[in-house]
Amino acid sequence: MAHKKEDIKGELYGDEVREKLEEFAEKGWDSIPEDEREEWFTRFKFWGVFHQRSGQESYFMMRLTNCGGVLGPDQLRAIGQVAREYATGPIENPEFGNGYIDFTTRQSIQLHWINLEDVPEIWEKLEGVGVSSRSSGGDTMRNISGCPVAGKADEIIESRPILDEIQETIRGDDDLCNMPRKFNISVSGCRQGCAQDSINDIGLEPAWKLADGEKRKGFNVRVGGGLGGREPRRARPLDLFVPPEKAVETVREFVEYYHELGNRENRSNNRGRFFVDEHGTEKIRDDLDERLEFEFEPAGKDFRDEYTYNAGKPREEGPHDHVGVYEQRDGLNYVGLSVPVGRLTAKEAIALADLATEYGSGEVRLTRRQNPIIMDVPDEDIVPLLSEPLLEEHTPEPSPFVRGGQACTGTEFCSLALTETKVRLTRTLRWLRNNVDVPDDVSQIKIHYSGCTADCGQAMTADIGLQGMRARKDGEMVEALDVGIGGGIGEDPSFIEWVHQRVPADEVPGLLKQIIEAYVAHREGEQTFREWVEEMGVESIIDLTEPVETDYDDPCLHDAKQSWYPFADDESPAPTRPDGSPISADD
Amino acid sequence: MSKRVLDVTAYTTFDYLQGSAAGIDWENDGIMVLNVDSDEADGVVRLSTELDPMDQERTEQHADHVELFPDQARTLASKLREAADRVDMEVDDD
Ligand code: HEM
Ligand code: SF4
Repeated sequence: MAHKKEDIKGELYGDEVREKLEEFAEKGWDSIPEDEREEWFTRFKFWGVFHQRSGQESYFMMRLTNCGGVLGPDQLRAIGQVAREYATGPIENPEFGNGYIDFTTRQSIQLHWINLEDVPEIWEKLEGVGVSSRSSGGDTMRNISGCPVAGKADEIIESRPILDEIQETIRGDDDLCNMPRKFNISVSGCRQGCAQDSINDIGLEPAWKLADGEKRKGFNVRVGGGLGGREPRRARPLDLFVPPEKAVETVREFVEYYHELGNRENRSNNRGRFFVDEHGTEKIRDDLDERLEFEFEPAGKDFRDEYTYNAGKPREEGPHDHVGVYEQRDGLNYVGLSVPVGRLTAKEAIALADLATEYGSGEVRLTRRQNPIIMDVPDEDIVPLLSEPLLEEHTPEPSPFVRGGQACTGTEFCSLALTETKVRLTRTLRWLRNNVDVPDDVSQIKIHYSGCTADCGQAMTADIGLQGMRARKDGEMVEALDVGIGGGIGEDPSFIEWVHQRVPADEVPGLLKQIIEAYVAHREGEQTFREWVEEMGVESIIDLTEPVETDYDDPCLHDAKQSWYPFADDESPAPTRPDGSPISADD
Repeated sequence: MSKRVLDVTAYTTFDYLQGSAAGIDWENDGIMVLNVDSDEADGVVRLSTELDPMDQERTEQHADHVELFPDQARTLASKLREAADRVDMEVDDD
């Protein structure tokens, strides 16, 4: 028997959903019959429109898509303007106010507190500059991830044309809109490994073969990777090398193969990684070989031992993120900003777009570390750009904590969350910056925070990973964190090991200070955090550190599991009309 | 000790309970997660527990699952209710 969600999708999905959504928007929130809400919300997700959690009825989150993190001139400005006008809720966030945008770890942007009634107008404004929200949620192909500076930085293989073609011909194909589950594609062409192809359903990574004394470049294909949720997997090699001109059809064939054969009955084990477990890489390779016209070749030699992105390697071996000023291959430069926890106010987003136009080509790109990059800045404009107020705030030369900080949504908008994340991590990073000294050569300590074990914030692969939990303190339930260390990706991905679990949130910064000070005191030479943990062993770090209260002031220690908003004292006004007035039951 | 085996989210039945793992001559006390979910495909209710990974000193990190047919799950529910009533009664007498 097919899963209930399959029936809902089978009835109506993909591009047709849009018309219905526009109809509801026209008639208002109340026009969605209460007993049909669940099925409509499931469908709306295909169009990037997600109903917010309980207590926030009638408000939606909108996720925007792009391909490989590229926003053309004017796109970010339009998004900022939309956020300023429409992404305003019934309550202010204590750090970010009202009207803000979130950069995500899949190189997209999310807007919150959107009223359904406003969606058509928002689409009109965004689509006018080429920004879409199609296929950004639900059981679809998600943002195709690629190196955000592809085409501008040194690449082994040009990946931009391939990314664009996959976007247009595969992700854009309405016949493939209804996948068994969400599906992630990544293509990387660079030496940094920043598209993190090790964690996608299908990832292409550069490789080479020797033929007639010449190096032929192409891609090795890996399938079935995925972090988060139950049972994470690294993508497994298919032992398949494809030349660049066959890359797109290979991806298409694997997508169709999973689209046809993926399990549509049991949603607990039908993600691509379980599909690969079930069929095995050999069978998948054989089947693809049969379905594809060209001759299959065994994998080529890859460049993994050179990957540096979040690999915990010393700095001189290559950049570990895109923060800072880097030369492009055309002689211009790109400037990567650091936005703590990935959130910008609408005003800042518009200012960023203006700076990109004033000093660069107007293009802004997004990384997988929730940060924006201003592209195409000539040498002589670097100094004036760096002295702009926005770049002093979100500086390309941040403290190693701010630079490495990353957080998922948390209780603010996520119904699965056990704790608040973004405001807490923002304050924690600030506290660490003011209270912990690290030597100048330490440029990276990646602290990633997820509000629950689904781990959208990628805590499992951080230097220091934090996961939301609850604990008892002074007789009361409080928000707490599991704290682990020593994760990372790169050539040899590893997950964190716990040092302390269920640490009351107000004792976490004190614990982090001890861990970091131990690292600073004991690292040998320029050892990175991850190298140090590996050498020191987690056991000794457990013994010598403990959670402790400090002068850090936690924003929402007391368990707010039932609250409609983590910082609210009053009752929720939701559901409301677009003007914010409550829709009462007797209207 | 790394990633928890059981998902812990706001939908988890209990994210904080006292529990233990015990052998013949040892016992590990700790905090435990307990979850109940239904597997419609297999026709069972699943009850799962996991002691916090760092409290599992004597055992390999793991979770336990028990599968109950619907009538067994109902029997369990009524046993739990009866036991809870006995405990409440005791408390009322104090
Ligand atoms: C909270 C964490 C820790 C802090 C703040 C800390 C701090 C320090 C400091 C300030 C020193 C003197 C360093 C110096 O004179 O250069 C020291 C020495 C030492 N610590 Fe730690 N430490 C911590 C954790 C650890 C851990 C986890 C271990 C072992 C597993 C350890 C083993 C040692 C040893 C062996 C020395 C003597 C080193 C030497 O003489 O070269 N410490 N510690
Ligand atoms: S990790 Fe958990 S809390 Fe964070 S966004 Fe994902 S599901 Fe929500």
